[in-house]
Amino acid sequence: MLQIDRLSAGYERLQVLREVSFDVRRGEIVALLGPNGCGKTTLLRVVGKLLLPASGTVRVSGRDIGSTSQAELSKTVASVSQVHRTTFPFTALDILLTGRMPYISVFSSPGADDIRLCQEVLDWFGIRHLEKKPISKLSGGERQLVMIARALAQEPRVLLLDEPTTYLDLRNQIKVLDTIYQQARAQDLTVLMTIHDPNQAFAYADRAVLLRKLAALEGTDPEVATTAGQDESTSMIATGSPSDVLTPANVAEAYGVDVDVIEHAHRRLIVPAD
Amino acid sequence: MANPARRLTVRQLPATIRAGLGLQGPWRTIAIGLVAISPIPAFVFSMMVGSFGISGGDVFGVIWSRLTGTEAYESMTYTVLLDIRLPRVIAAMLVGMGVSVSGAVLQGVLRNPLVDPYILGLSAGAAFGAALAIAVATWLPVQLSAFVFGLVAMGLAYSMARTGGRVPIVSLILSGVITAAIFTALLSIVQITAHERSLQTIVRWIMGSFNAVTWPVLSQGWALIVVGTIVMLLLRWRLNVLALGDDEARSAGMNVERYKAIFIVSAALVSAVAVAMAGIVALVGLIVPHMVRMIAGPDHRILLPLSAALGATYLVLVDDLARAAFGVELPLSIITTLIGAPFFWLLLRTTKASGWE
Repeated sequence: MLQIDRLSAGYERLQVLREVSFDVRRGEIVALLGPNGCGKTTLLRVVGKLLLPASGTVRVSGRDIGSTSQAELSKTVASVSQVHRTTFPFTALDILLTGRMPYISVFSSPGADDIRLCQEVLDWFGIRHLEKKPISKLSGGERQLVMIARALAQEPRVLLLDEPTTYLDLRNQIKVLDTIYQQARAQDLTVLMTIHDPNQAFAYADRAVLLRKLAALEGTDPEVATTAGQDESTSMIATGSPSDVLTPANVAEAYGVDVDVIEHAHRRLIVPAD
Repeated sequence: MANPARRLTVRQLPATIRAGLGLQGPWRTIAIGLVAISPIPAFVFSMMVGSFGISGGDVFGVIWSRLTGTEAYESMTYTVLLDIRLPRVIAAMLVGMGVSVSGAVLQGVLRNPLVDPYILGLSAGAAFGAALAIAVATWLPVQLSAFVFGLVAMGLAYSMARTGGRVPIVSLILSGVITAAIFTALLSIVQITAHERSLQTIVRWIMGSFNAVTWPVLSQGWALIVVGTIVMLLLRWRLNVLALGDDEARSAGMNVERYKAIFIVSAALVSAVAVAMAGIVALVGLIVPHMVRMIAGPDHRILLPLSAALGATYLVLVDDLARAAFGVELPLSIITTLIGAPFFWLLLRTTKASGWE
């Protein structure tokens, strides 16, 4: 569904992401992990065509996104950014309707069909009761669900989520991730999301991609940079099933911390080593 | 059993009004209806008032007799009503409409509810242009010079803000401030060197008036205001998309920079014509969209048409006050500021609670 091939990207002269390659199969949930500044968000922005890559290609269903128009791509790929601030207190329904943009011709606005579809998406998420509430009055978790629902109103095949659980309390983190998981399975959606907690990757992802922060970057944490023998030719440390990727050795290389992987009730957990 | 029943009643409760969503229920419908039709009574009333008073029925009678070619009234009545009052009333309504819609559009595009059409240096540029034509290059038509320099200022602000094919909002607002500062400095040069008589004309122009509007002046500008406003009205739903943020709009497939450009250029043209016609009318483009939001909420699909209606009504009534309420004709900005400033203060107090950042 998604093929990322030798992708490098950055801002101005700062290279954030180097030579990243991996494939995402249809219907898979893939977690992107790595320390702050390793280029997780950059990678998502490139895949969503919000940022042009320095080199390399991204293919969606075999088509290079470089030769796909934004309007065309938005019918397949939808993204939800990390922080969302609203200037105007639009209602949840009005926000979802903006997701219908790819399907609405120049001088028209959303019609009854679009409204019905958006209400259906709200139903999937169990937040239909928020339909007429202004976004400014919603809780952080509800707001995040509305923004993800907005992306689904685009009827995408691929969903890109940038840290969907940041700033949420535990209950809302679980609610958001459960909803993403259920919807991905129910709609046969391909999900690529960045996430900070490796344990959530174990619980919710089919596969994980672990990135490292490039040492050449300014402001690199010296603790991480001095990790012996760091491979500087690529940002990728490992890709595969979460249990293969999130090993103590890989986590140490990515974050510069020692961890233990323990097993509890057939689930893996990462905890700091004593 | 108790749970579904409770959920049903919760759903039936009117959603919160104080959150900046506008009024709810029947009051919302009534208020929207009143605003929507307000330009009609405002027009009739404005045609009636003035030192030459006339009844509402006669307003229609005079217009009808002119249209049908019957001479049922004295020629004086035709002159006052159709040659002096009518173009002025139409101009006030068009300018009020254009400036209010432009204000609402720019607030949406720049995602800042405290922006007005003058934010990009328009007022300073136009004021300099007008002063130049009044005091220095007297062969220049004042309206034309104001229009051109207003556009030059906005073009300058826009191109200063543009980097790598994109126009970041913060840069745009800041370059507007810088542009305004430049043209204010240039205006000061003109004012210092100007004669006392032309200085007074400059000051009067800067404070806004429809005093100079005649049919020829109106005929030069009305089309641009109407066309620009229609473009903005037709594209208005897209402001909801744009207002969510550049990345959100782009990922929904919108060509963000193109729509920003269309909206900003339309708003700039409309408000530049408005300024050329009336001078600078303070706070209208800022206040009117907010009045509408208090009634109907932030959805641009309804915000823009209602801003057009309320803007037309508001400014024509202000102009009635300016020309007929006192012995002398008052500049418009004095009235719009005295009305607008307390409202603006109220806005700052209430929006703090309504979730605007």
